[in-house]
Amino acid sequence: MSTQQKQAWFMLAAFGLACIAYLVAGLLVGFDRAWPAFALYGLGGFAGFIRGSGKPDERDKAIKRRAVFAAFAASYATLFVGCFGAWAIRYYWQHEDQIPGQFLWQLGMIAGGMFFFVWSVAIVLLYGRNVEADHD
Amino acid sequence: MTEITNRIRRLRFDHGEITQQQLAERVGVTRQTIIALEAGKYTPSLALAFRLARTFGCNVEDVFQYNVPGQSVAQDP
Repeated sequence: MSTQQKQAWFMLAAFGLACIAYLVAGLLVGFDRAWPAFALYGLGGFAGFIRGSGKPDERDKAIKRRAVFAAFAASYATLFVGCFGAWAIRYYWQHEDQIPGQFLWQLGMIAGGMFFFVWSVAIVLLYGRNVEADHD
Repeated sequence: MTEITNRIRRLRFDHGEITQQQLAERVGVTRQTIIALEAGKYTPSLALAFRLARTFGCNVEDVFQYNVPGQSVAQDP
């Protein structure tokens, strides 16, 4: 298994652990107060210390490039939909013309989490699919 | 839809039954990439295609075939 495959699986495991922690904490203290459980997703940062077998070759690099592109697209879409959605909800349903400042950094964290989640899923999927070499 | 097929598995056995790992080391890629190539799940760069062909002592066209469904393969005169 390559380095980035191991890192992707580790990050997905961290995400799964965070989801389980959220469910357990939600049942204990209520789901509105259980959001900090997702801090466990930060354990995924230790994936940077994981090393796989061998040096990455051209296929690994092609997969990495596609995964990063998908992750960036998902992250950017999250930011766009989040900002637009927040404005729409506030303006049309709550009849306010401002978005709370705290929402923006929360949205930033969600977009960041989305980046690493989509990157992990893309890496895992692309290693089992047809890939073409990059020509640049 | 275009499709590139290859004869890497056949050529490995025709050249002393070299293993996927040995071939990977000779052309400078991982064994996973050789597995993906043989399974038709990876289309290599031109440089890797040439390295593979030279390892087997043949032309690129002897290793890789470019097939377009619905068209017959062009024959040399």
